Amino acid sequence: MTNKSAQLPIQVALEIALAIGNSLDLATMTREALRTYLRKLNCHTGMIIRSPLGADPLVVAESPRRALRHPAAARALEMLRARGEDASASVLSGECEGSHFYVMPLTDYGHLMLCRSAGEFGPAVLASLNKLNAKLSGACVACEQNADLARAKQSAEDADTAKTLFLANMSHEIRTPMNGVLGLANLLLLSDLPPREHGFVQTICSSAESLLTIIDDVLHFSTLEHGQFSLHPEPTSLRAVMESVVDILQPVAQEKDLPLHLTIAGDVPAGVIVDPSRLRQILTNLITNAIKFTERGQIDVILQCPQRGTNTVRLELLVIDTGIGISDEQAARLFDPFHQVHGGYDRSRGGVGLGLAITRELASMMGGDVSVNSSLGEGSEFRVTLEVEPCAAPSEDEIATGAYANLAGMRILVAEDDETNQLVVGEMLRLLGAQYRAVGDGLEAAEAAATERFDVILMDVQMPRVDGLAATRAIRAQGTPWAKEVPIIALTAHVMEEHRDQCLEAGMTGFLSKPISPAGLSRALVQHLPRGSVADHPQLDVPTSVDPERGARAERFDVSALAAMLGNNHELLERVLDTFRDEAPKVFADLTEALEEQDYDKAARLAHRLKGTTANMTANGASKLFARLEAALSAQDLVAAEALVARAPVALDEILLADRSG
Amino acid sequence: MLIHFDSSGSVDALEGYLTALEDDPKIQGIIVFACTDNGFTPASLDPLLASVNKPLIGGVFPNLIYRAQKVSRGTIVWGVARPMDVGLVPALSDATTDIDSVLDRVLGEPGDESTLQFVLVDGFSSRIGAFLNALHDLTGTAVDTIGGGAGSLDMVQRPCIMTNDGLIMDAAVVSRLGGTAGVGVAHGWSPIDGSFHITGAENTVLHTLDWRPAFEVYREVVEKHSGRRFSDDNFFDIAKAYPFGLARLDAERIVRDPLMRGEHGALVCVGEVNEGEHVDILHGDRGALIAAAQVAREQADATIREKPGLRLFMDCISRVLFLEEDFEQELARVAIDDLPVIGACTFGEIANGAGEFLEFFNKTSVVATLSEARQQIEL
Repeated sequence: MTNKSAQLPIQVALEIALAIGNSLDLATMTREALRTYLRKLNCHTGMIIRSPLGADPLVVAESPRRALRHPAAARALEMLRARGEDASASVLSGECEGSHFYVMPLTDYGHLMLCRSAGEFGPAVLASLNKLNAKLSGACVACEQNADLARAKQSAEDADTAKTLFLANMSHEIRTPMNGVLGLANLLLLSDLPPREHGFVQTICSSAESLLTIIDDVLHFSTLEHGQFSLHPEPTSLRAVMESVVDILQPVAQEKDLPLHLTIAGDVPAGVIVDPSRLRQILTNLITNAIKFTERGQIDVILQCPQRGTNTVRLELLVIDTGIGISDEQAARLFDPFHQVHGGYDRSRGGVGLGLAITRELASMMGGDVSVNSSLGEGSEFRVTLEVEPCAAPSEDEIATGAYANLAGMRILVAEDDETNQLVVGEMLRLLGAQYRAVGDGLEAAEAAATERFDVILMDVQMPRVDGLAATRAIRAQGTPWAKEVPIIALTAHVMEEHRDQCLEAGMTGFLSKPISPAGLSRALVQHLPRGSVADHPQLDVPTSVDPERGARAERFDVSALAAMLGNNHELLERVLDTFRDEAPKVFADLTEALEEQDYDKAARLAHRLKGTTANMTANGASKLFARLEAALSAQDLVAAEALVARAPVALDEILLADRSG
Repeated sequence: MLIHFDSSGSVDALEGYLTALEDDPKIQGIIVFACTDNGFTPASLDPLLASVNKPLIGGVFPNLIYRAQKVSRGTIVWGVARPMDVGLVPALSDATTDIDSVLDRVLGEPGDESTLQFVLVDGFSSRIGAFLNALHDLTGTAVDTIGGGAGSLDMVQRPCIMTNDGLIMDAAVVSRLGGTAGVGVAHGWSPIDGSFHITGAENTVLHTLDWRPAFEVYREVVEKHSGRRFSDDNFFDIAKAYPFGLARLDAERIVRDPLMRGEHGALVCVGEVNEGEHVDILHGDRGALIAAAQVAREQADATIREKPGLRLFMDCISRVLFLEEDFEQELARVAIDDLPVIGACTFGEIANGAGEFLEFFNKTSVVATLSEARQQIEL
């Protein structure tokens, strides 16, 4: 036991050493370390002090609290202050009221102060403390650096949040004037413009739409990235979604002579609970990419169900192309945002490299994943897996149609502070047959709703004096049955999910994002007005079918050929031509209107219809023109579509002005 | 100050004394020491404790110290004639209990005037060290602190802390009495082997020493030294003479009492042991232990700054078990004059003697000499 007393300082030093640096949180680490110093060295008071150059010492840890109440501690700090930078290299010590005190340097950090009543430290202990204090100063510096990193990380996260907010605000700020541009351009297209000016306005519309697509992509990705986006799952017909996307993109593939095949395996459930819009978005992104990067060969879209659980099924969606493919290195970054494998910005299609990043985020939110298997020069296979709940498929009549609402007799209140937007929305309502009253803010809206009854209220959200949310609450608070029930539809350039929720929480019935199109407005009104109060325009009849072989032979319209096909029944010929004269211009007008409203799906459907009608009329040249127009509209190739639309009246006139004598 | 002793240890007698102290306008707080043999239970005591309006704390111990005698049945009721603040820390062993916050809330920092702090803990709680660290941070050395661990010799944790809310377990109570005290701490145990590095420990459980099962190391040393062998039922009988000692600089080692064997060769101690610390195995010489009690009393007497009126003696129950009939000699070293002596035989002792860090000791004698005016004492 003779070595016991010699061993003791070493043991104590080891124990203190083990208590230093056990946390990267400065307060926790210094508190625990200081307590061990005090217990093991038989001290009653201690402090760890940060001593910045030229500044007053800062207490980082102390035990007990308000340690400076002890006279020895107060004396020690006083001595440290008096010595200033001279104290950075040597140990200060002294005695005060029965306690010895020590102020020991913590290199590059500050000082450790210890006070004890059990006598002075021996030289061996002080030497050990030197080494321990080096470890303590290193640990303190590490904690400070960790805190700096944490602050930098927080700052970066704050900046990221600010970026999201900025994007949302930018979206609002851009969308609001864009509503004016697009709305008025749409109205202008409805007027009797010369063809050249008509083309100019169409270009304004298509350019604005392209810009909005980019803004939407950026905003959409940002909301996904920050978890501010939510899905709206509902019973969905998988076949309907798949076929609709493939049908729309089929003409685009045909333009490049690429067969686009859709195969749905027999074991895929007819209906599943999924957000159809987002599923459509995923599919559109993948097929569009496949077409874009495939020059020859084919594209196969396959939906299969490799696994069925008790309550869920695993769906596998494959998009396989024979395109240029990508390397392993490129594949690794393929789903990164703003990354474009094949270099550059494709102006004909738009986009900023967010499509696959959005696809991955959406798949992830839907409980799935997306992966790619590709070989350079041989093609790519994109695979999306989704875990979904099967259900009965929704019936056909649950699938919305694109017909316009007939709002004749309706009175609508429009609350909108922007006069241009008032004009746009008002003219759209007039176009749909409604009467409207416009007010400039939420206060006027609430006052109008207190004195008049409207069939529906269209309410801007951001308005001076009283905003749309407060105005909605005020109207609902009127308490009358009408005030409680009247549909109030938000008109806003905000597209974030949280804004949508705010509108609904305020008592609004629905939500319509700017820019507002006549079709979108019509759909929203049909959706929110009581069933039966709005009539849809009747659908046009499809002309009787004719011999397609004959039509294929003649490029120009040949009335005699048509007459011959009709058995030279001139009365029937007259009826067919009259029907065409009555309806074809109307369909074409609808097509141009749909185009002006950026309703490309509808415009493509109408082009498809005219393609069939003209084919039936044996006007094969016109039929081919409308076929190309349909393809251009489906691909939203607005430059091509514009050129084809400009040529269409000539092709139609060939039929309309044909000499009936044949 | 009024101090009563009831040798019957009955609830009725306790009720009588508590009622009398309640009615005495000079008394501002009450401290109760009771023997485990009294058989107090929450059911028998809670209604009575709840009826007391003055601040009350207390503990249940295997033996009490009264008039320099060890008693195994009875109750000491101490009426404090000074302002007495009380703070309770419940659920002491619960790792989610933020002891610093609780102490801040129930007790707060002491005033500038020096005070005596009397602390009782459930001796079988597992975070007594953390509690005392927090209490030291709150009060420092400006406050003289003394106390001990309550519990029963069957080593089963049960309700042993008294508060105005009733008899509870796994808790600590702190009372600030006003006045001053001198505090002395000594144990007299000496190392026979070591040091051993604690390579595995969790709260009060010592898993490994030098990466070997703790009991394996302990048995080797103790069996060799004592000439006795551990069996299934004689652990404490041998271990009471061989505690562990935690190293401190320039002070007696802090003793840790191995209470029982744990799973996988572990040893369960009274009080926490920490990984990284070093321990020696100690052994007691009867004469040295008895002398240590005298040292503690002398330290206490030497440091009191006012005229003494009472000695409070918190002495470890395992010293009683080790010294057996010689324990009377230990008591005699503390009760040297006509100054009244009261106290308890505890599971761990608490003190910040001689300006030291507040510590939880085992197998140690802790004496506080109080400045209570003697004319107020009625023994």
